[in-house]
Amino acid sequence: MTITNDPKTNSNTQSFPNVTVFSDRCAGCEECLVRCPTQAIEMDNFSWTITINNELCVGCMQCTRTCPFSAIKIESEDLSKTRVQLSIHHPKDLLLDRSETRRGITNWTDALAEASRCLNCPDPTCVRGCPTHNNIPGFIAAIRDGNLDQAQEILSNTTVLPDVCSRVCDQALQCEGSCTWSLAGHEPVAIGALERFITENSNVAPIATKSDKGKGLEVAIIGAGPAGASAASELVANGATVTVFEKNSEPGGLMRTAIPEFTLPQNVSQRVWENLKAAGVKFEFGKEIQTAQISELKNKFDAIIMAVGAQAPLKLPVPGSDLEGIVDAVAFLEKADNLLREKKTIEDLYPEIFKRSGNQSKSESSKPMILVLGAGNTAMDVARISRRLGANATCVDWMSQQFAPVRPDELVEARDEGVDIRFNTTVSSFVGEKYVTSAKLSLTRQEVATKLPTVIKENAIDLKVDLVVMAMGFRLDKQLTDTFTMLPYRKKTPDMIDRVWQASGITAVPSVEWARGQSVGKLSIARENARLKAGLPVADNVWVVGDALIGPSTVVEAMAHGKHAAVSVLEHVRPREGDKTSGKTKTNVLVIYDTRSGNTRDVATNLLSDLSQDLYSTVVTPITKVNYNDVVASDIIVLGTWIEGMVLANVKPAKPTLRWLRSIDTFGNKPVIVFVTYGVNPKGSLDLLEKEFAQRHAKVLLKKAIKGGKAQAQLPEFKKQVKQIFNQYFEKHN
Amino acid sequence: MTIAEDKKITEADRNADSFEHYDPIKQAVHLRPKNKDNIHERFESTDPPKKWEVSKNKRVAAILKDRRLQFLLILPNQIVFWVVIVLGIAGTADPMLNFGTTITWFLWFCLVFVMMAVIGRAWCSMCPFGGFAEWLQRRTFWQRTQKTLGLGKKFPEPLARWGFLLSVVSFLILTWIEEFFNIAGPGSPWETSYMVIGIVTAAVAFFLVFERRTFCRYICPLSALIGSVGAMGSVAGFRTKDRDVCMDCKTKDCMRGSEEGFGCPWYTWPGSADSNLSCGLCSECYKACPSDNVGLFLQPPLTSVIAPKRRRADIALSVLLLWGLVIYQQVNATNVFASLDNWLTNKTGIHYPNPIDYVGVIVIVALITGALILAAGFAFGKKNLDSYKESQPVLATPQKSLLSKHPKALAFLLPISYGLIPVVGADYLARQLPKFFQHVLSLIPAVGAWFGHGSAKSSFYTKAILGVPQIVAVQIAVIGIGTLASLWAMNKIFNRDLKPVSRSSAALRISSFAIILACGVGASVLYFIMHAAN
Repeated sequence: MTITNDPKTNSNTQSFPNVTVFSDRCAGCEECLVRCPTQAIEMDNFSWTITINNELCVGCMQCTRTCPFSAIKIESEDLSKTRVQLSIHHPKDLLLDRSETRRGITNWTDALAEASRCLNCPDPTCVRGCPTHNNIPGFIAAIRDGNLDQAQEILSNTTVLPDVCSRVCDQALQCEGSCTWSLAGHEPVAIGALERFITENSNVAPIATKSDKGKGLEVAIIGAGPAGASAASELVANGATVTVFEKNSEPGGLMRTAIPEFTLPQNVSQRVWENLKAAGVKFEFGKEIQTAQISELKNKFDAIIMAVGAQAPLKLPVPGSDLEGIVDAVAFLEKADNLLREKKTIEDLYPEIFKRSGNQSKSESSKPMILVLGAGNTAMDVARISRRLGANATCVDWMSQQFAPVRPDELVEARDEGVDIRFNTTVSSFVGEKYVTSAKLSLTRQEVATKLPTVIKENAIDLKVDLVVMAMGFRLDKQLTDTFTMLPYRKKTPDMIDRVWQASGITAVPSVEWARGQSVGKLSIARENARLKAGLPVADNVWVVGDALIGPSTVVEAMAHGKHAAVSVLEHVRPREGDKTSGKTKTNVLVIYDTRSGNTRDVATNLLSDLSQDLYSTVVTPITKVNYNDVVASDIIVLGTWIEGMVLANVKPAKPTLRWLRSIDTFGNKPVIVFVTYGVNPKGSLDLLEKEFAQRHAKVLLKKAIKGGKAQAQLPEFKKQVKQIFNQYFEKHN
Repeated sequence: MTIAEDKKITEADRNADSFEHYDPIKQAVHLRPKNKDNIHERFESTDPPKKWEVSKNKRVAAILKDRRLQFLLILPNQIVFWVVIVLGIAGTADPMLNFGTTITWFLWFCLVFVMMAVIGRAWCSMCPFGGFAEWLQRRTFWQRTQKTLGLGKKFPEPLARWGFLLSVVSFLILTWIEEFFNIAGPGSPWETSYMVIGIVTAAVAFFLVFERRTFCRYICPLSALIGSVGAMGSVAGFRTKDRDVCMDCKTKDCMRGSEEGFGCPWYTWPGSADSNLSCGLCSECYKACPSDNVGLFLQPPLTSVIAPKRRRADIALSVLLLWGLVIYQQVNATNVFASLDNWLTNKTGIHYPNPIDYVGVIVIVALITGALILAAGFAFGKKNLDSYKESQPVLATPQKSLLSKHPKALAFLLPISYGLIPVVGADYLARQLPKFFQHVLSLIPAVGAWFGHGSAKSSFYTKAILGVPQIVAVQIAVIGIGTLASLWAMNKIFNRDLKPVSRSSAALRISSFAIILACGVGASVLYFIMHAAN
């Protein structure tokens, strides 16, 4: 297979981009040079500034986004070539139709043309945008080579659900929104369609054994959804014994119950479970594990991963909401999906509701009316399946359309299928005697995404309804949040964004057109912070992942969490019995120091000099450089800081230390050693640090104050104490 | 199981970047290697000796890390300048007794030049104009904040490409205004007051429209002078401790800002800084660096004049124009000039300084000096320098910038103009000396006036520290030192940058020395004439 269009030459185009380097401001840091996909940037060693060859430039503007001093200006027409057009299947007769509506790329010519639009960026922002960080340029390059098996293999490093995600992900807010073309204001590479092309034209590989790191480990996974699937897959691939508990009689979780077949065919959503069964994962269906039963379960398993989802549906607290005929979306969808398969209609779904309407004439206007509360993806599913079952559907959502978390293509399809979707509309009350018969709708206004809408007009419209389905989202089960009070972790972007991410350029565009005006950088960083938290246990040997960790999110995020938690289990948990050393990794000690004059740094760097490198691996890092990934990967944390303040007044640990501590939500119950170097008197600094750590779920095992000038004299004793702690930890865990 | 003692953790292990841990992003990133060719040769001439790092001292390190450092430097100046503004309007109308005018023109204006000649950009770290505007822009006095005030625009490239020449132009305009209204004379205190208000307003406007210190870098009237001529005084600067660490740095916190420090307000990267040309000594990079890889270094005198590999055309032209300005300020005190200016005033109706002779003198002096340099270069330099750009780094000038089309002219103009820096700087310093020596004591009654003790009757009101002949002697001594420094620098510059391009090495060396001597002697003679005219 040859590449027809190499994206790295723009020989097809007559005009080259207009390139300007502000050589007055260019400092020669080469941040742009290392990231230019076409190697158009060279270094001029005389002036120590860069030069750009505009004949090689394709106008992706990666350089302008990564330059710290904004010293590059690129003016270019769109050189990204035309994006592949994907077809939408419109069933001739919607009634009882189950065929998939969204179609993928159907032939190699289109696939190669689309794959050739990918620039294979050296610092691919799409990979950061993807919640599970698929190596997107990697699998696209494999497509260009015509090697789909290799593409599958690349995908399998990070995802167990490529076939599902390529169908249900909202790529515009993820990989495609952060594609370099999208950040440049052009149409991104159709990453989702290419991923789907791979899975549709080659078999998703069975789960292969990667290592025996998890040999002897017995892990319980509660919940057979996407998070559970990816955790189970990672664990079983590394030799662990995995048991999945599922309250329903079939696996799949929301993938099965909440996503209808016309979006996700059953054979696709079931594929991963077949693979897991084949790999030896045990399933216990019909078994609901309550949060209270966790400690009981701990006696039988080495680690527990809770992937129970967010189960409590949100309810609309308005008059009449306790009437009959108001049901919740997941319950509705599960029933409706079965009904569709059995070729029955809406009258069979809730006979007690619909029988009163008597003989249905099948004209559009006399069909039963289903009111869907919400206009997210689930609401669309409810409405579209209702149309297939022979009903009319109206969706109302109080948000503005531009901020609503719905895939735009989903919205278009739903409208094409005759669903009435009204944004900026909410229900102010339901009317009816026993059953709900009508709903009073009110108009709302929402100007910014972060603020809740306000109702501007009460009871504007009266809508006659036969059934109301609530699809406004879910929240965590109360038992779960009562037991683990830190849950849910809200996804958020810190004020000071991660500079490694910033360096990639993903945050440089505050409003990305393809991502419906949102900042893909901020969204991605928020998702990444949540993913990293999935690697930290909420209690000894208990991990929580997916929607249960952060509230309602997406299939791909849940899957990414599952994998990270499984990696963490493999790194930190040893079997209760049997051969404890098998697959043993080194104990990771993370030393973090905050220094002003260098005293604290000296202590920190000398502290671990006697440790055996066979048993320990250590990272010593200034507090300004701590990588949260290292916090997750560490077994023990040592924090050293200095004391600021006047001799007597306002004495406390250094501000940067406190600021960093307070920016961390959780340390996942890790053991901590703290020390301070002080000039006159550390006063209550150590206690304050201990308190701050305790609030963030860390156990301080040793506190030490070292007098600045006498650090060398005090070091041996401190080292001895630290070693003792390490020994204790070591004996407990081995 | 106990800890085995046999294998110790090595230095390399301890400094490992991070644990081996599942990081899917790392697998997909394949950055191009950086071009580090000749990086050590490129910077070795300007890198200060490692052992001259002042920040190795723990006390110094602690002071530099303190976020309040710059605030505390700015604060006293800030107070003084608000006092100047208020007293200029509300205080006594006698400029010799008004604290505002006396401190501005008899002390501050001399100190700025002393500072410039000794520590280069030091003034910028404590400047109350930029300082005040920056407080507004950052919405804080010293804390690291994330939310800024203003539009944060980038300075447009068509202007930015002129580099420091914009600043020279604004200095020429401000000086003309100052001479026209006789503000520095000093004239009426309210004029000084208005001038200060004008500068502050301009600074605030620029800080609120553009990002970082665009004002200081491109517009500030003193920036070009302190940046270019101040190169003679750059005794210390923030430089990288280990350039490889900077090159391999993944975050560039010194440029982008971190929790501890703002990104460089001056668009300077310690990793490639070879002088303090555009470094305001604000210490933000020192605070921001996550690797503790920025140090405050002392450097041998005149390093920034002699050593930079990349000589900039805008700096060379700035030096020539600023030389023209200081000569103008000497010439304007002569009788010949006075009659010329009077004649022009009659013709045009604009009184002293008439813009025609003002610009005329400056440009003619700059042109003559430049022409002398080029004449020497073309007479004794190699005829064919086509292969020169590839083989010699001195020619590196801003791309698409001034004169870059004339590499041959630049080959001589740049090094010799840099060589002139000390003598030009010395002349600026000497020019301010009379006001200081004659009038600085009037500060005493000016301060005393606040407490009801100062008056025009005070003996300090008119008392001079030195008499005119002594002042002229000091001025000539200063010029003499500057000339010697220039000659010394020129010799070094010549050996590195001019020898390879000269046809007759001795003749070119002598000509370049002669140009410097001519400048020094010319300036000295003018001081005689000026005072004779008085």
